[in-house]
Amino acid sequence: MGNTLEEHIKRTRQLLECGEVAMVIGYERGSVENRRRATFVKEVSELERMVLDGLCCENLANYLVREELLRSFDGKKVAIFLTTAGVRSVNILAAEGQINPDCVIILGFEAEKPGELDSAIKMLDGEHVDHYADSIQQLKSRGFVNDRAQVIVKLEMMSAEERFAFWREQFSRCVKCYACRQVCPMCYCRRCIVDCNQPQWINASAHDLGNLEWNLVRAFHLAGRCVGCGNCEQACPAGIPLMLLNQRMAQEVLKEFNHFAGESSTQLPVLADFKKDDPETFIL
Amino acid sequence: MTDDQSKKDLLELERATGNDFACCYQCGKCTAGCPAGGAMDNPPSVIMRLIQTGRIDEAMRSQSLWACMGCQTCTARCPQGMDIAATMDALREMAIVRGLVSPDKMRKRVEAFHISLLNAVRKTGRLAELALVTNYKLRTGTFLQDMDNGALMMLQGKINPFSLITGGERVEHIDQIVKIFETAEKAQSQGRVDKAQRRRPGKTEIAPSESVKIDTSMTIGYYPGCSLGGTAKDYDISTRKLCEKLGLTLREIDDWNCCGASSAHATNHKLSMLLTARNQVLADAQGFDYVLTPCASCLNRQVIGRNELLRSVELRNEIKEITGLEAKCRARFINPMELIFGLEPEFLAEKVVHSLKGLKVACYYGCLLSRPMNLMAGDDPENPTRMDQLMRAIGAEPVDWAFKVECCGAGLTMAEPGMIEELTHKIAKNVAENGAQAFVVACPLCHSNLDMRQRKMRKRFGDITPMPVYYLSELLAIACGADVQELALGKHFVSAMSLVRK
Amino acid sequence: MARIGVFICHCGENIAGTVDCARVAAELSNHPGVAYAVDYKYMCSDPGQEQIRRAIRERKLSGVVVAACSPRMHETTFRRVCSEAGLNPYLCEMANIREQCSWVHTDKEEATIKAIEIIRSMVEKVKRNSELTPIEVPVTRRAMVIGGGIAGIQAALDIANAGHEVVLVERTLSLGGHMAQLSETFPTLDCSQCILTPRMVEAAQHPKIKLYTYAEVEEVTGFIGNFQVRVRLKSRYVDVDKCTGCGECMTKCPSRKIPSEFDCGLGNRTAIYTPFPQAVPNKPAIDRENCIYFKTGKCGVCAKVCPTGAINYEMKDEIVELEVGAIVVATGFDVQDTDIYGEYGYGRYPDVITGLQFERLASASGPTGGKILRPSDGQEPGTVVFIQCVGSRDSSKGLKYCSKICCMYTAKHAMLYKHKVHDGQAHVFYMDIRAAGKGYDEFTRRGIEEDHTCYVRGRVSKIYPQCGELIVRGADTLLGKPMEIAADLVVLATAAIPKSDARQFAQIVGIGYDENGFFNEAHPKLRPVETATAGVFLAGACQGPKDIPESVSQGSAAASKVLALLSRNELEREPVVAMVNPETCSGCWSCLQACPFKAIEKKEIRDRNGKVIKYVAQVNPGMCQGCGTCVALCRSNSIDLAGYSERQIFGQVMGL
Repeated sequence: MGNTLEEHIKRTRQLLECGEVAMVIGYERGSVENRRRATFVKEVSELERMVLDGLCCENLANYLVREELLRSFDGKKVAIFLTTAGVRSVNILAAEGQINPDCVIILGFEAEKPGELDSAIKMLDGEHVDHYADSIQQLKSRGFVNDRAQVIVKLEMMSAEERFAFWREQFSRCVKCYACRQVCPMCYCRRCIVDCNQPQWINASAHDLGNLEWNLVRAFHLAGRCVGCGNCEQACPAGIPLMLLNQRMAQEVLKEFNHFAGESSTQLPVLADFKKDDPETFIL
Repeated sequence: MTDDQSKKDLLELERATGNDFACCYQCGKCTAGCPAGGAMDNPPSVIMRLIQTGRIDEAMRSQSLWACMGCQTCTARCPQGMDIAATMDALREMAIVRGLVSPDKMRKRVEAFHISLLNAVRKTGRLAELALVTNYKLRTGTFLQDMDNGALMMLQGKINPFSLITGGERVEHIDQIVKIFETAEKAQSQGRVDKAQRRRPGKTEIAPSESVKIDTSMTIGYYPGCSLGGTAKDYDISTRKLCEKLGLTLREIDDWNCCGASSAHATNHKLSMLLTARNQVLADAQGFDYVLTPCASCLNRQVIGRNELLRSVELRNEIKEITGLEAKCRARFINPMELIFGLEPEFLAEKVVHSLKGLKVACYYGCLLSRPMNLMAGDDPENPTRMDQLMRAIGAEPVDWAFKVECCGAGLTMAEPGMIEELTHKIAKNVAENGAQAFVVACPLCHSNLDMRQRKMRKRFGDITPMPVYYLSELLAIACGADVQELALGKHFVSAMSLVRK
Repeated sequence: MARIGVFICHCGENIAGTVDCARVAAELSNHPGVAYAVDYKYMCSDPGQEQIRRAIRERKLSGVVVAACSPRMHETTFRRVCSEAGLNPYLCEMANIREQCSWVHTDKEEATIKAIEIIRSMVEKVKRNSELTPIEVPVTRRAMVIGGGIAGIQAALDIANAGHEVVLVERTLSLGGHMAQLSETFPTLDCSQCILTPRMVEAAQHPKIKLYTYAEVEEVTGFIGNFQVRVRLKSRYVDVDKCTGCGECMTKCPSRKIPSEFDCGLGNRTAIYTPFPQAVPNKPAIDRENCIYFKTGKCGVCAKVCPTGAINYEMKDEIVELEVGAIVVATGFDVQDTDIYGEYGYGRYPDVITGLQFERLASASGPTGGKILRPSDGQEPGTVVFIQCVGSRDSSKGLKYCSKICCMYTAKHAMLYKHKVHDGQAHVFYMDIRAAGKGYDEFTRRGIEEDHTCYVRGRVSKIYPQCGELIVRGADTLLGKPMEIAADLVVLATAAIPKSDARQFAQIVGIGYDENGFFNEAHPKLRPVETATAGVFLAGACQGPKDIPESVSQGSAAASKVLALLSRNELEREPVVAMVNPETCSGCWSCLQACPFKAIEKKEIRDRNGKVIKYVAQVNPGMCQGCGTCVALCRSNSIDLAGYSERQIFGQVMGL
């Protein structure tokens, strides 16, 4: 597998032509100039609408959660353009029994300057999740060194009242559109907890405490599962910095349990597994 | 004695030793193993019982405290992890301070020994043996004791008679030594007791054979200790010769002082800690990783002292105030066996040019080389084999025998020569029974007790043939090609030349 | 429409002393859904129970809350009352206003208000309770006893005599365990093998007992009433059906110098051997590691001389899969290696032996034919020193506990020695004499007063050889002096420890073990032969050091538990189990991973054409213990706990 974009495109053509894949999931231009959206290509002729540049930020793994991919798409596979975060998503989905990783052909890429149109795109080696084991380990050992981490530090230095006030203000803008849930690859529950009303654990209406409840529960449900793709924050129409919560949770899980979401397709969920020397034994 | 006072005394003893005296279940194993047990009025388990029942005064007045030779056998074998040896030390110190000592003659002699030794150390920082002996004789009136041995040693150059006038070797920074003594005495008079590490019954930790790594490019520190400059000069000569033959560079620690021997820890805990601490900070400051310490007694004190320095901020501050040096505790004091085992495995074998085939020896480790078990690493504390392995490596034949770690009487050699004779007789008897011709030792005190006092012992018991006592370094040096004459083998009391001259 | 009956108990003064029960009753009768509220002095008494029964019938109650002590005390009682009155017992709950209210508060006003709140929240729960029926789990009416020592034999016989099938699995070549190695037993000085061998034979011949010797349990799966056990039958290289036990092979085997395990190394055996002449079954096996044929391909004498051609060098291990309903673990103990005491010289000096080795010397079937002889030179010892507490009660070596049997067997050894060597001297170094059983103290006194064993209170510090004797350096703490004895033979009463692979075995069977490796009983006082794992029971020294009468008692006790289990075709289990809603379950397997009892499985959901649509979780109600971990973990609320459903808990919380 070569390392240039052209070769990747050639590969997708090849896969479609020989019938190995039923579909290629990639990006196309959106309705607005600087937007990109997912595209689902079934015919070779449709390939020309696919693009790949620095604006392609969305984690496409979200579209993999389909029953057909439990075994295979009518005997065929799916090819998909994924960043390393997306590969980690595939790992988690496989570990949680939602897809068969052998049915997915990964076309890995990484943008040097994500979010900028003129960013260079580096193509990654490896078409199966197992090929990414080393690069994921490297990510893990780097830890969370980014701008968000600085903000998190600032938040932690606040007093509890200040922090609560900050988040309350943020969530006062939430309209419970559930876009965050919709775009998250990890939110695949057939019936979300907010949709339970016998009993009603989480209030469905949009007031700031209820919104706080919803988003905190979602962050907890993502503990050890969030890969930091940022889909939720991108999708939020109210511009709430959801990733601050999710990253803080991921940092905690890494520190306490040395758990990094999506390390392998057989990784045990952090909340359902324990080692004898874990800091808090919460099961038996 | 009021109940309140005995309660206070109990707390002080618990603080000084780390023991919880309720844990002693009076099994008697300490009494059973004590070399002096038969000569004590209150053997160790009885002392523990006296403390448990609040009869601390009676414990302090026991003659047993003065018969104790500090061999640590009791502590090593206690199933409940009690430190009985430390209890004896703490009781003795308490007794001295309160003036509640035993009226027994043994006490008078032993106390005189300690005072003589410490006075000599205070004057010069190192122990001039002649000064010690003269002082002791003056105090106890035992003028004729060891006159013959003393005269012989003077002729051999082991003791310099002029040291009486010149004071012998002295430490340059004698002010620091005086300060050490003053600090220790002040602490004692103010009743300040250092808090020892708390002890509870639990699985004994035997220190793992922590790897000592030696190579010929290193400069290894050398701590001869006071006896190697005097009565154990042969040990010093042979050790230096051995290192020369092995290609190892030794450098004596500059301005080292006496470690305090048994007299310091037996009468003033703080003093023994400060004296050893000074050597540690000197070794650290002079950049040594390892310090070869041929004398097992000095080594035992230095290892205990280093452990205490690592534990106690107060001690580190005190030594810094006295010497101006930081206690980094990087330098590790090691014995000759650790040194050789720290080299590459084939190293010694390659240097051996002369096999000592046919020489049947009993390797005598003595009580202190493997104790305390959690700090002195590398060998089975009841049946050590490192010295035996070295003997085999040079072609000699070490025998298997039962008294490898039984005490020879150690520091009681001046005050209780009779007891030394009894203990060394038992040791020698077992050696003879197992077919060995000679001893190999790694401690100058053991050597002295087995060698210098052998003639009298043989005369008294009549059932032992002369058995030469070799230093480990002597035999190793000979095997590596050193000349027997160079090694001062002729300076032993029991003729030692014939067995090795082949 | 809910019609809950609330019954408030005074519990004498226990509750009524702090809580105003009448007021509580009055308040609760106004609570929506409560049809009847009353208080009474002793609800659990006969009249109290009758009140509840009557109220259920007359007032047509749909649920009952008994506000009284802890449900751990009387939940079963009141649930039974309800079912007698025709109300499903799971519609009855207890509100704890004693341990959690009246016993921990002093302010009457506040305690009364708190009691009202507690009961209110419980009423809200019971409104949402559903009728549940106990789960019936089929029981395989066969028991397995692992371990063929005296405890295991006793258990097997008791179960078999009650008419049930028993599989008895023994790891070594013969039944008997350590008891077979003993010479005489205390306090009666009965010959051990004489009382043991009839039992061994009975167990082997019992029509209901299937005996597997030289067999090991490799895997245990399943749950109470339904265990699957995989047993490996190791190959003896002797066909036991053809073998008559004539012993020709052993007589002719040229490899004769193998230290005998049964004789604790004091005697030798051949490569083809039975461990002892009275072995059950009396069929030999070939020790492959020491057999000349297996090592070099030469010899084969045994095959040549065997009159029935029973030797088969090609024999392979066999695996047997068994289904049993209950398991009794009776795997016994071992004797500690005493070379941890370098100062005693065990292993260095041949005349320092363990208590078990002394048994072999004293035993008529032992290497010396029952004569007490020194291992070094075969001479009769004139002075024997016995040392108690070697290894036991020693924190510094890691065994803090007392091994229980040593004081008694040392007294016995001293007596046996004196009986055989009339002018011999026996000394015992002891710390205490623990002789607490029936006739035990009298037994030890007999040794001292009639056989003149000299008891010295103190431990020994060192043993060393001198002029052919062993010098024992001990102490007499009653005198306060050290003392030395010159002995010809030294016997160490070594600690009783669990078998070397006890911990691994416990993990195979799924039971717990303590810091020393002994298996854990369910409750140290009240449930000594059960484990925390339902269906697995303990008997004998594997649970802790004990003597023969106790081992036999425990064997019978375990058998009685097994019989209770096997007495029915079906087992009733509490219906408090988890249930998955397959419609909303996403098959993420968090619950499966987290379940401590491995009670959750993967289930396929297929469409009409048989094609798999999805996978969901499914709970095995036979294994689920109702801990609720899965319920807490499920992100989509697709799993719920019957009896403690989310609706019930939510109702309880909101009712406060």
